Amino acid sequence: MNSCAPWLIIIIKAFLILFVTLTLAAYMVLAERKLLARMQDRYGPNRVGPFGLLQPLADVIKLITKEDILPTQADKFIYLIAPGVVAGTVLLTFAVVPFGAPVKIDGVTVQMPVIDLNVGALYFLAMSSLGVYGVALAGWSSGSKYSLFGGIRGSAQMISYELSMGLALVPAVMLAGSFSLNDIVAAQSRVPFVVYSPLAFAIFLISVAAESRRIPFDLAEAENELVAGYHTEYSGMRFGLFYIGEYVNIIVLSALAVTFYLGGWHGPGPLWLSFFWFFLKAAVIAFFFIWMRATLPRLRYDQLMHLGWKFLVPLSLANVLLTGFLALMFHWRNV
Amino acid sequence: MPKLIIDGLEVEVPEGTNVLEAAKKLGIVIPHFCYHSAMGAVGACRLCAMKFVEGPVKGVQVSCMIKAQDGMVVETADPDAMRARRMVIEWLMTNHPHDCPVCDEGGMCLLQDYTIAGGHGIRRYKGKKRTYISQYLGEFIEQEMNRCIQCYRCHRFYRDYAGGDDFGTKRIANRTFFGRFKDGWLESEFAGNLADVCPTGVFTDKTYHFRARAWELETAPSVCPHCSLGCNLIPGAKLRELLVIKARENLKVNGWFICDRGRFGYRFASRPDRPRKFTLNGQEKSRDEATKAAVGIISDAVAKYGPGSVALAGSPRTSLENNFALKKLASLLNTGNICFSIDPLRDRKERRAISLLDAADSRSLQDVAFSDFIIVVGTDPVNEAPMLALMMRQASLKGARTAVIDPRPVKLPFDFTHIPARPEEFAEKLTGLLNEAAGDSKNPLIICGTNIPGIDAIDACSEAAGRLNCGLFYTLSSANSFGAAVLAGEGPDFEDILSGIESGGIRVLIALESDPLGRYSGEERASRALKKLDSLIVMDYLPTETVNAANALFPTAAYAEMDGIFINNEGRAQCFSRAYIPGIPVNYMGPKLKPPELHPPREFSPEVPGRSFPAWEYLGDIAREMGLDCCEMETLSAIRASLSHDPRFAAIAGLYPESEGALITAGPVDRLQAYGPFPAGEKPDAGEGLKPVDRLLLYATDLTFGTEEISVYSDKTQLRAPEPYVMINREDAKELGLNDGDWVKVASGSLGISCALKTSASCAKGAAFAPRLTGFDAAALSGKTIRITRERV
Amino acid sequence: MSGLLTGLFEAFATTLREMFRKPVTIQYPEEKKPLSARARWRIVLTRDPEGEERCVACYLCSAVCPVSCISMQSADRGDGRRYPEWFRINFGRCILCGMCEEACPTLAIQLTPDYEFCKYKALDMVYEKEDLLIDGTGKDREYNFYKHAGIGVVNPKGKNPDEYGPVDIRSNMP
Repeated sequence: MNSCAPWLIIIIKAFLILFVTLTLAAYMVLAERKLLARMQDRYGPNRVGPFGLLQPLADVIKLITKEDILPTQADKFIYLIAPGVVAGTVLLTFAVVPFGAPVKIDGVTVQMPVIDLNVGALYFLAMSSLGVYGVALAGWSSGSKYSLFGGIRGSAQMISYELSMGLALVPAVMLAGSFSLNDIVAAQSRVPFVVYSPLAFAIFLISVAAESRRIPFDLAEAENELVAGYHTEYSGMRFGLFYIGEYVNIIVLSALAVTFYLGGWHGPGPLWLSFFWFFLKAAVIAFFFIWMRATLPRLRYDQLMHLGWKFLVPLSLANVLLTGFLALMFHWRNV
Repeated sequence: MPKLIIDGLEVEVPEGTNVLEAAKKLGIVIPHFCYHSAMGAVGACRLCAMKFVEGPVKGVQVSCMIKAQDGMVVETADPDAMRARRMVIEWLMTNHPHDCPVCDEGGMCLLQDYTIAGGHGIRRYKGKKRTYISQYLGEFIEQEMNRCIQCYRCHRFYRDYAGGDDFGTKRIANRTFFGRFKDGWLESEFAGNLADVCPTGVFTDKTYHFRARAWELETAPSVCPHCSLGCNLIPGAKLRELLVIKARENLKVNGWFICDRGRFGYRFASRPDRPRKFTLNGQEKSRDEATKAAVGIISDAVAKYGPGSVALAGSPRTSLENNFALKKLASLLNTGNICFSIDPLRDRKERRAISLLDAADSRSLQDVAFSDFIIVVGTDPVNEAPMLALMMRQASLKGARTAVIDPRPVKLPFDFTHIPARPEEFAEKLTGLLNEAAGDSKNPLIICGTNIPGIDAIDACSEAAGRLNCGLFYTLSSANSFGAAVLAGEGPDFEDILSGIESGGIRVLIALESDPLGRYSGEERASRALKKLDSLIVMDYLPTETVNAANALFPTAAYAEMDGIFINNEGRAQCFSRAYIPGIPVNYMGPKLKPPELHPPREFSPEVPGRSFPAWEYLGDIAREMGLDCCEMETLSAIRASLSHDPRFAAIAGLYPESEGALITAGPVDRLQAYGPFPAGEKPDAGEGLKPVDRLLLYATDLTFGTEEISVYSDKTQLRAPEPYVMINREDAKELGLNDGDWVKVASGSLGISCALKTSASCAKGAAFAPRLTGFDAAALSGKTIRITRERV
Repeated sequence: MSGLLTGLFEAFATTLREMFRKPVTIQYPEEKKPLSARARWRIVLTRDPEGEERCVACYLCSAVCPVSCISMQSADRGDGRRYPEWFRINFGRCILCGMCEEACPTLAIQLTPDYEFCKYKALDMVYEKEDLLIDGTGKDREYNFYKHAGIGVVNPKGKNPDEYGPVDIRSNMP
């Protein structure tokens, strides 16, 4: 690192990621609608552009031009910033994701995460905890019963599943011997961690689905009980921010699942294909989320809590013990 | 009191009650067409069949024809009786046309209801139907004789109840026809009731012809505004247009029926030229702007000339609440210049008359029907209070004797004695008559007018009533004359206000639903005086001359468009309710249904276009805008509460719509100041050197149609208004060398009118009569001595 | 537990399998389903065989309409024929239930198979009489209400096939 200022590279990477992620999120919406439709024997959006490819653009135009309604009962300031919290925390998480092999530009090695924190895994946990605020505040500040219920449910759910999600990361950290995502990826250059600890991977996927408040864990929205839960009162682009937040979240969480357990950007072929491998793996996980939405019905609230506290948390604890024990027994790397 | 059992329930009814009424008393509804409480039973329709199980009569019988007797056991829902009723309906339907979709009765038709109730849906009879050629019966009633089911209600009402003789039953059996001998207007003033009594669509209201269906009408219990009797009505409106009036039952007042003025006089409410806009010197304004302008006018006058420069004229045709709000405003403004009638003479006579009425001798309209000796003093019931004539006929049918002391050739639908006398002879004739004839009657009644009789006659009637323990019944000018007179109390009359305007002391006049320019007797004087005003503020719903001359105009709601109270001639306060929201009728909006736009405008607005409000709201606005303490005129309930604090009006506290009303008494006789007989105009001078026929005294009279203030704005009742005329005694005419039908000039001093001459043998000598028709200034000559001369045409 | 897992597996397998099936959706503007013989959509007012308006403005359709989308004003055309001065159907409200057609005593109001009448503006869905009245008899080619009503208008009184001639009210001869 010499002539080229590191902050410049960081900014370029940040903008690149912002652009790519947001575009991906928009197409994620389209992909989900299309796939859901096909799984339900429908066509899905196919009117705007060829195969409905311009649908995201139309949606964005619609959302931007719609009236931004401010309920009279709302706590104005919090009501206005809550969507930003949701979308912001999710986008920030992406800062630590290594989405490709390091690239040498003009003799300088550029690491692919925007910033390579040595506590990247903790940073992710912190950001996803902050995301709870968005939901809770949106629900509370709307001044509506439905929103309040949605917010309360959302925060309870996210706090509960935070636990099993954090514990499901421990095996990966243990195996890599580092909190840095770069190190974790590097540790999987030959064998992805999913081979060592498939249970942790499964728990992580389930917890992540709950963290992103998607079916079957969408109790915070629960259309048929709470209208739209915590974002009932939102309209226009503020509603759009929640929407973006949700889909960026899917992308980020898929990327993290890939990073922690599926070997990150590692794959056969030349190094520049790493971006492709990363994308492919993340797409598979994202497809799984969509598939899950098409397949599973929503859990009841007590079932949700039961699954989280009585099943996933003990299981992930046991898994930590088991992985530690196995790692010691068989001298898995770095432990 | 016989006791009988109907459907297992025991009921005790007065002797002579028929079984149908007895069942009604138990709440059991038996279908019937021909029976009517007012007209009795004839057993014509055969529909009210019941099974008599025990007792003196056995088997299936028509219940209206059987008097209730002890020991009867009756089943109304017996299969035999039901079968009989079903068969009757099917017979009646064999000739009934298949025209319900184009029949105005459809939706409120008894035959329709009972046909459906009886389950007769498929015609089994394959024969042909009987048909009739219907008659033209004038513009009030439409006849479609094919629909007739021969219940005879029309005949019984028209001939028996109302005493008409130009309508009746013709032919026999299956070809029975109800109608006139030849086409032409039904002559009775009560012909409109045929539409109500006919259980099917033979007689329908022609003014309502093809306009709406019963279920679409917005209705409310209401009270007639067209005379002082306060008959009960149900107005029906659709799309903000008043379309029909039906009689409402009130067994203390009108019974079941109303007169044609009440029924067809409603068309003033939807006149295209009705004032609908708030205006200021002809410019359209919003309600707020108009209020501010009125406040400006009043405040300016008060500031410049003192509170006495503002005068207020209430009206006997508006509700008690409106008049009270006006009185309240006057007291808040601290001005004493308030009157409630623009006819000073009549105003004083009415104030006198109501002060003489008390609970002991006051009689309701229904009580009239139960009198056995009736003396009518100076009133012409059919023309001044039409339903009174109908009630007097009922008394007459029960055997009452009737004498009419009146200078006019009075017509009544029954036999009576007419004593032609001039107003100054009333008291004397009354005393004579009472001494002669009243001796053996148990329930005598004196009916006295307030138009032709002087104060002396009014006093004499009251005095005689008190002395002989008779009933007393005054006829007044308008629906709320009683209330207006009580509010007026000892206050000034319009004469005083007019002199105030002429002397320059009064600068602003607020005319509340009164028309001094069009209705003051002596229009020229009124218009000269009103021109001297700085400003004229008018609140009205009629397109009167005063409205046209107004500086600030507030369009008000008419009786069917607001809640209010009228106090009738007896002192009976009756509530009326709002039937619909006043505004420009939908059918009058936009380019009036001319191709290519065959529909009302395609616009939508949350506001009612041309909305008008009750006058008390405007008066409250003015008071509030002026910063006065208006809490007693803010809402209708506040006004009523404030009113009922006055002990005279205490009875209105418990008043509710559809009640029988509450009696108000104005107070003891000496509370109101007595006025001289002729406060305005000339005294009937001795006329030195002139023959009696050269100094006839002219009286302006009222007619059923064409003179009443509100109904003259109804195009349909105006069709029955006569051409202007003056009527004198036939011998007087002979002496003047004039014949019936001559075109004459009637003159007094500088005033003069031209019209046709009518002569009558039963007209009092030395008197002349001219109706107060619009555009015919008979009122100006009222109470004056006149000369009648032939005029060349 | 195994039941849960097989259940989950079956569910996921089902959705995955359905993904590869041809969708059942009919692509509406390009593909259209054949209408059933009794399909009832846009409302029209028909004329009788003589070409006169059948509607007599009896208000039965507006009375029976469950969403109150029909309004009109009846009037006398001058010859005793009752007709609607204006007649308005708000198709924005109409639920095409067909009760007006059932209630109509003169067969005037009829529902047609034309269902493609959406508009961009709500006010354009309010049809006036001139939009509703067609130059035809619709489903019944013969019926003329006034020939059965027995009140004159088309044929003089007593001249319809199911009527006796008018009663002579001046004679008592049978």
